[in-house]
Amino acid sequence: MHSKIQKPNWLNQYKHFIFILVLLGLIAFFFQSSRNIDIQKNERISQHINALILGNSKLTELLLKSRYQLLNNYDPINQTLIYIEFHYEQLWPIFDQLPPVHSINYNQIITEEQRLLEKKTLLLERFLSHNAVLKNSRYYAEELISQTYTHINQLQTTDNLLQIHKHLRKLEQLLISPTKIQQQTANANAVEIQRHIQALNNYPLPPLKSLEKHAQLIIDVTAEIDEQLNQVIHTGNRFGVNLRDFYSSYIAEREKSANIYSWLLMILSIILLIYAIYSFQTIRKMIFSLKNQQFALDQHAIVSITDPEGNITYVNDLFLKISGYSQQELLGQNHRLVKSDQHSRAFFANLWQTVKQGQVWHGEVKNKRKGGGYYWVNATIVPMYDATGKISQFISIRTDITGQKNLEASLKKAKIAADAASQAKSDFIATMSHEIRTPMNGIMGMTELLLDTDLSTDQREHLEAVRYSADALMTILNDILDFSKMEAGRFELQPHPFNLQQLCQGILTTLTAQAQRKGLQLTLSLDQRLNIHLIGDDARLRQILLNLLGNAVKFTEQGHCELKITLTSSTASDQTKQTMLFEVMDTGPGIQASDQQNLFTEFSQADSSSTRTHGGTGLGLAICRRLLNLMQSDVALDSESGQGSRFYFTLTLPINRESNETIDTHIKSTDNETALSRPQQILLVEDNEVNRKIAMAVLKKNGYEVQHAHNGQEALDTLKQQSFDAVLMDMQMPVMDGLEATRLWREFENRYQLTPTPIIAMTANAMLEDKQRCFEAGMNGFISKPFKADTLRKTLSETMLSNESNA
Amino acid sequence: MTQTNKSSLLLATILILLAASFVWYWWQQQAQISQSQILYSPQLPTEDPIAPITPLQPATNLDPKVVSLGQQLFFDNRLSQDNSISCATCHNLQTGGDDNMPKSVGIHGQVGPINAPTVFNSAYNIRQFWDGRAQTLEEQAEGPIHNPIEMGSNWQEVIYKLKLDPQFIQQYKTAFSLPITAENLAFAIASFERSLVLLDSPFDQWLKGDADAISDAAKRGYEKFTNYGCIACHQGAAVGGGLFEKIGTLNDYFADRDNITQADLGRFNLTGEEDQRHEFKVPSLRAVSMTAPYFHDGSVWQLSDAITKMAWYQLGIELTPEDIHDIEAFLISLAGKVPALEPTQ
Repeated sequence: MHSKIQKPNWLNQYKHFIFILVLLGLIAFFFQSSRNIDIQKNERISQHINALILGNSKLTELLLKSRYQLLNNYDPINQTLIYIEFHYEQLWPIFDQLPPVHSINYNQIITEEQRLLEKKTLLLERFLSHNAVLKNSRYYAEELISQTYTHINQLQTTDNLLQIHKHLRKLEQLLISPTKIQQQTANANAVEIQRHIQALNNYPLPPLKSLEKHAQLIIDVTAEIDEQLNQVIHTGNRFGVNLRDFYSSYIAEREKSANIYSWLLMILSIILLIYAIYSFQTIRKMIFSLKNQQFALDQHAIVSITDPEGNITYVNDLFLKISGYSQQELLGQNHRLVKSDQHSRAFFANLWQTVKQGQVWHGEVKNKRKGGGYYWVNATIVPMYDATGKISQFISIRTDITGQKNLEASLKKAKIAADAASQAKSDFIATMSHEIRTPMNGIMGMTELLLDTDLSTDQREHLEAVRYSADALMTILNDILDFSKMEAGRFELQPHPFNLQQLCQGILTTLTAQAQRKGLQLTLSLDQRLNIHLIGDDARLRQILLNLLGNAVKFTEQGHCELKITLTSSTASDQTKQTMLFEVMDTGPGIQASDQQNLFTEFSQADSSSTRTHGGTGLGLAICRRLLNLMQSDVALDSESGQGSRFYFTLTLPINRESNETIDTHIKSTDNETALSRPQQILLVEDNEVNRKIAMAVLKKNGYEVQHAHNGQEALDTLKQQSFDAVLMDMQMPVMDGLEATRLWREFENRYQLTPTPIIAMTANAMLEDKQRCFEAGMNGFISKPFKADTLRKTLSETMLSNESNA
Repeated sequence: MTQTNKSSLLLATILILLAASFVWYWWQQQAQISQSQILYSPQLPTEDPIAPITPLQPATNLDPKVVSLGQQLFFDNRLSQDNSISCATCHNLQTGGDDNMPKSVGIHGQVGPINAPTVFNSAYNIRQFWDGRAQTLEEQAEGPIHNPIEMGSNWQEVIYKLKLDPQFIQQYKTAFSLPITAENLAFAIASFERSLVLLDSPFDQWLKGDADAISDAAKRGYEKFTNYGCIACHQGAAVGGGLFEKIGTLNDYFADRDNITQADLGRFNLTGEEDQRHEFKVPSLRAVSMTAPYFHDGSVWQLSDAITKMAWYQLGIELTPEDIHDIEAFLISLAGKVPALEPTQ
């Protein structure tokens, strides 16, 4: 029986890895996403944003100061601008690196803020340059006016001094003091300034030459400067604040998102943890269960594990116990340490081949103990695979069958003894059969011979009584021998073709006299549809029917007995066999139900007293039953006390198609005798005095010329000297028995190409194998002792006839 | 090895790679933070200036090693394509921080469009270049390097050349950790330039209280400088460099000079704003005594001529010779001490 352990599927292995990788990836992703904004980064971003807000407000402050002449130079403004620009530069790269949050589009904000800063810078430049021009012209106008003052003071004329002063003061007011001039009033002022300048032009005041141009410049610039300042201040004045708001909402979103991922990560972790615990528990349970199994296994089985080369890596306690080795002595050793000489090399070669191919090996192995004793085990060796599909180890599980093996051995011995006993019994039966039959043959033969002579009525009467007793004794003897044979299981049916009708008529003939004497009617009814040519053991069938009908006649006092054979309808379809119902009915006393059970068991009769009345061993019905069992049938009884009896059985026999004769009521047995041309020479080989006498008498009476030999050797010598028409060979003789003689004679005949002489065996042994042996030895015929005269005659003529036709 | 072991090894490798990538990523983050900490961090002004012109302050927050590296780079010809010119070629520290030519000459003798400004006190400029297109000194350093008519090179080329020099690499490693980056190189150059502040000019000493630091003419010149309104634009510690202004606010400068070039459009080139046409960054006058020729086109060789022209075009006035002389004396007194440089390799 070969079976294989399932190899591991490598794809499953990798599926596991892929799953783990995906899981790790998921964990990494969740973890990364759940990380809130870096604190350091957060601080830096906040710092920069705050710096921007601060810078922006500082810039506004400085610009206002500058506008109102409160700032001496632009250095602080420029410094502030640089400060703002620096923090702006620092911020954007960090912003760019921030992980995106889907609801906030900060690209827009960045672009917007960038644009605003550029615009603001431009407006700042514009303001500063215009402011410088304004300052420049104011300074110069102031200088000019101051120079004019100096000039007119030097002149020391009081004419128009007041006027000039007035104009100059007015100009000072209009040009120099930094008041906010509305667009509407600018033109009015311009007109007024022109007027004053015109007025002053009337006077010789050289310093005021370019005052007009500067005045115009002042007016023009002043008109625009406040608007420009406004623009600078208000452009991107929410510069840092916007960013701060944006960043706050960004952080809030990030935090929310991070929270969600954090939760997801936690859930995932919990799931993994649960899964891990569950797996762990499952594994523990499995391990526990496995340990239990292993313990159970170890209680019963002898377990060892080896590496692929057969070196022992593990043994259990039972192994140690049975092998007698200790663990240290076994581990690392090759398993052939326990090899005994019982098994051939081929045995182990086959074992290795089987398991190396990955198949399970079963077998019985004899192993050697430490110290030399032996033990038998029934072993199962299982190859185990590792994850790659290569054999990693062999596991052997064995049970100790030493006891069993011993039992087997003793059983074998017992069987041999039993067979010998059985053989002895058969031999005993055969011997006894022969020993008993031989004198019986003498009694019956002599009695027959005597009855053939002239006898007085008394003598005849007495002889017939002797014959009757001898017959009865023979019957009993046959019954006993038959029964013994059946018990020993050595009984076999000998089927051959027979005529049913003839058989039945023969039975009736046998019992007619007895029936007539008792005044009973004896009838035979055969179904018209029956085919009378059948194949079966006619002798045994005759025996059965004779027994049953004989019993019927024996036990019925009045009325009639009938043998009825009917064709049963079930075999109409099957043309090769015929099933018949046999019935033996009588009008006798019947048999009580209570007695019916025991009827067919040996040694019992319906009434023990009937033994005396009717005689018989009580084996008859038992034998009938056994015979019918052998014929796949069984006898049954239908009877009631006082109602007569009906014994019946069903028999299926093959139809003999060789002969197509149908039932014929007037059939008579024909005699196969043919007239012979000359007296036949018969050699009678018989060691027994009485039997020889009988046989010779019969033969002589029938016209044969007889010579005799006492044993096989004498027979051979005689045969070599003279030819015979037939030889009647006894089986058991001293010096040389019949078989040996026959064999040797056949050899002789072969060697010298002689015509074979028909040899007929005479034997008290009627068993099949004896017949077989006779034919094998070279015998042609067979006759059993004691034999009747006509039987002998028939057999002789048949044998010689067939021999003639064969020759 | 068995399949189980192989699989375990594979898994272990993957895990290690994952862990390694995490660590690398984190370290990258760290590296970026520390990088920015190197850079110079400006402060908000705490006090208002007490006068239109204040004394120059020395640069702070400069790493001497970075400055030293910057100095080396400043004089390094490898910054130019044919290794013929360095920053110092046009911004010669011994000739006032510029090349004393109307227009600079780049590689292969190509003449530039505009006069080279001085590198001295350049840290005080609100922007760099006449049109103010560079926001920082670092940005400015990139300009000439990449300009085909100036140094005609690029950072890749420069870095490649510098990498071949083990001595340079040694020097570099003292200031920065490898690798050599353009950012670091620019920062080094800028740091060096920031250190080039001309301190302790006579005028500054006078501002600080030394009454005899400058001549009477210079004192008078300062007063006139203020009263005439020059100080409106040339103001602050750098006496200029703090705003953009049109050249020819009162009288048309370009009408008289003629032949208007692209460079003459000034800030307009950058912003496209009409009112910024012909606007330039007001130059610092601190080193003016050393940086002839003057104006963006380098058209005026004499300082007195520059003063005269400025007065006419910006103020519409004709100064007396006395005024010019005084103002000149004043301007000369603005020049501080050129810093002594550590000798470089």
